[in-house]
Amino acid sequence: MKTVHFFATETTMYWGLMVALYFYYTGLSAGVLLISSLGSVFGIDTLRKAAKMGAVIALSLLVIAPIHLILDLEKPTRFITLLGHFQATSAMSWGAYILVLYGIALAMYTYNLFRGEPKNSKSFGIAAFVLALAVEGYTGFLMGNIQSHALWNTPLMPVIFLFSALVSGTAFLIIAHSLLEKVLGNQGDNVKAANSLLKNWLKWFILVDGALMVIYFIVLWSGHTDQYATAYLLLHKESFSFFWLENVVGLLIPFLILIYRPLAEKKAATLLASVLVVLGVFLMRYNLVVDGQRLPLAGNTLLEYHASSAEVTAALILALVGVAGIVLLLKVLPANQGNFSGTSKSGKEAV
Amino acid sequence: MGQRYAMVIDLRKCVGCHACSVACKSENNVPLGVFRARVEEMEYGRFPNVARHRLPRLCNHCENPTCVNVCPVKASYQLEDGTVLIDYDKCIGCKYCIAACPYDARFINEERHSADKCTYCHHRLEAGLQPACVNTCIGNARIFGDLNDPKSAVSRLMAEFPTTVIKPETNNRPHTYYIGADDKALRPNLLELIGGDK
Repeated sequence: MKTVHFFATETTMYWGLMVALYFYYTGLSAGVLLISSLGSVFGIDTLRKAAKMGAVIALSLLVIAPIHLILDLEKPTRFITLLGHFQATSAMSWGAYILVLYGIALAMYTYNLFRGEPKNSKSFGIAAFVLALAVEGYTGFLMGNIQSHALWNTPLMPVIFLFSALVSGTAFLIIAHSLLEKVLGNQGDNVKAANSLLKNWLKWFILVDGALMVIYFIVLWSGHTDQYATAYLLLHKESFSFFWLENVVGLLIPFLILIYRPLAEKKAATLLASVLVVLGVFLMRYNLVVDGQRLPLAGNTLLEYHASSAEVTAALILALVGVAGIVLLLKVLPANQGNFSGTSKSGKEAV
Repeated sequence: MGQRYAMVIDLRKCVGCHACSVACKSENNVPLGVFRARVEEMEYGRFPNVARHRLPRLCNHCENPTCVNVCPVKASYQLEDGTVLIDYDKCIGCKYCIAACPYDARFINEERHSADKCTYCHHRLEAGLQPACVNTCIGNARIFGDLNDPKSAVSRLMAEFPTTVIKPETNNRPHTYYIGADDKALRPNLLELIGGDK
């Protein structure tokens, strides 16, 4: 049956690149922290040396993440009122407090880690670990609890967010370790051992994340009309971005590289897999935010979204600030002295 | 029992003149390109079996409004009489309410840098007047009143005729009741839109 709309007002898609990047960077920060703190907080020796670098990365990315959201507000200067009110039914209200607490715990953890105070860094590390889980939980819940958009509306969303955060965080650490070696030369067995453990974990995280995506997609496909229409949109109109780039290039190919031993043992191949995964998780956040809003709630036009040049410029500047923050902190703080070098005095340092 | 405002839209009487949209715009200074009240018009079917339908849309002033629940700064709130309002100064413009409203009733007012939507012309109600769209409707298709008053026009219409609401399954419990609405007009035909209609 053909429907013709004579008079339908245009609707704007209000959430776009900046919201997606907020989810992406908070996910990266939480993922990196969850993995890298396993050494310093939970005593996994191989990762002990990754703790400082992980803390610096998590902190730098956490600093830039909320700036994206603040810039996306209609009244950016009023963001502080988020902390003056509490609305128990609003995930965003909970999130504002969770994010601040996570930031404080993370900063204190990093500070004590570099001061070499094992007791304090462990306590704050545990707090940061739990709050990192809460950050992923709340961002996923914020989307999952919205009924109006079928793509978002699933209780699986916090779990999907958590696993894609672990995937991107692990891959980001592998990339950071490799770059560190590039810049500072051979870092000895420590970094090799850490990377081979991370590589092993990465493939399992990808497997779980991929399985969640498959389950989620099948449920969408066999769901009610809005859900089916959403799945159809992803598989047809958005197949390049959603199916090929996000899931084949961003998850499947890295997974195949990591399970095929002759390839997985090559440094360059692991690095490639990690880069693909980190980009793939960004696409996952972007597709989720944008494609989730494409189906109209009224009228009969698919909503379009193109990031404005102001948004792209702000995003690029913030990305540079994030990277600069990581590099600067690693330079200023004694993160790379005696941590990855094979000649460190003893196997076990204070932390 | 206090008042519970609601609107009944009798589609048998709507002629599609869009006077409600225009009256709303001038009454509430709604910027160009966005609407607090609008009328969708559509035609469906294949010749010779065709039908034309109109669907006036506005904020549903729901009993369980998602927009109020998700607002992180309590800028969206609900009065005892059911009216859902926005404190434009308090609103920080995070747009969570816009994303969460299943009815596409909200938008950003670029002049005020805040979320915006129908208020049932709250300022007019306070002055004892009807909402501007109701006042201006030439066919008397829009009827506004108190659902808790059994003698009100809305109560009597709802007792006499079958009514429908948009997306009852969301449990927002919307308070815009349509008489004579066709289900096909109440929601977008998504399958046809994306080409998944086999």
